[in-house]
Amino acid sequence: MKKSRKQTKKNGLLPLGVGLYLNTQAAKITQTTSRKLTYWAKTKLVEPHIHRRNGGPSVYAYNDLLAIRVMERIRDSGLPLQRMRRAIKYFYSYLGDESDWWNLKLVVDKKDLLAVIPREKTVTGKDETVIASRGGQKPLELVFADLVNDLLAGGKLEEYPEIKKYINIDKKVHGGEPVISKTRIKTSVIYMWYKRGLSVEQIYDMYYGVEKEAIQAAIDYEKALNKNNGKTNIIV
Amino acid sequence: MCDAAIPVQVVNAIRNINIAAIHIKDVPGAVTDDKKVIDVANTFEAIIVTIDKDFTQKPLFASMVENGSRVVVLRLPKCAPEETMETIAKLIIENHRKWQNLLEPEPAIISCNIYSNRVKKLKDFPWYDECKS
Repeated sequence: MKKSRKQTKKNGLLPLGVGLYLNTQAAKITQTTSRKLTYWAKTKLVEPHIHRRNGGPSVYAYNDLLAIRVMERIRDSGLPLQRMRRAIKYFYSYLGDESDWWNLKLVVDKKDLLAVIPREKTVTGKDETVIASRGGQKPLELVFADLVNDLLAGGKLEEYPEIKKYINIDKKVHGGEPVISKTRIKTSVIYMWYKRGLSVEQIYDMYYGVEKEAIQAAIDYEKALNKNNGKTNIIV
Repeated sequence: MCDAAIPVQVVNAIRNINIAAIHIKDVPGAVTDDKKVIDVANTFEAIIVTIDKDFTQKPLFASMVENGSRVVVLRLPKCAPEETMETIAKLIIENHRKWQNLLEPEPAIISCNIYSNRVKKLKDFPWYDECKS
């Protein structure tokens, strides 16, 4: 266990919330199938960051990949579905709150689900459980760091630096659709112009104040979203 | 009120012929918050004009129209790239009075193309009942 934590710290290039992955990529990295991901999205077990739009693919954020790994690990524990939902809910809530998130544990036993802050991080020097346990059976223990290692084992995590720089996804802006940072211009609108025959230069002239690189990033991003499924989400 | 997808040059052009228009870019805080867009549009009793078809999708559009917003989505005809901005401006200039009349009774969305203005109310969308429950 200690070894895996060290590995994660050493890798240390996986800040939360970075990276966006198409359904198929997410399936590959999390060592699952895209059919399963689609089913989990449909049943709202693990929802993608962006749902499919007009036949386009769903897109998962980095946190969602970790949540998929949680699901993969706990589904064999025989937990009822309700409890699995709770596990995912806890998982997301702790990811958001804790800066030392990789040290957290998610403990699942037959009777309850616990989030544990490990002893190194507590004042008392003992593991602290956030939710009291009722069960006496041997629990299944998930250290968040192990989930990251699962992902690293599953495939290369692409970083998309240009997406982080130029494209923003925020639930408060256009209901979470991708937009060019600091604007409300959706990448799908830029791509629509591009498909209508406008050059990057012409689009740049239309949108005063938007960098040319941002326009190019938006086009590349939409191209990536539309790749592999032969469908487009453009407005014609 | 023109959404960010409408180029600023179009807004300037229609202002020059005395049509009251505001670009979302000019509203402080609106760029980063959908709620602000709705609030400002409602305060000015403005119609939100966009070319973004996704405006008819559930989360944003439902919250906008439920909060009293009136939205127009322009459906652009196929035209030469260099005529794009003129086409957007033309649609706004030719139709803005019609939109005011059509959207007067209650909040709704208009799908506007060169031939017609099609009004859709919130309850006309298939997801409306699901949203309500």
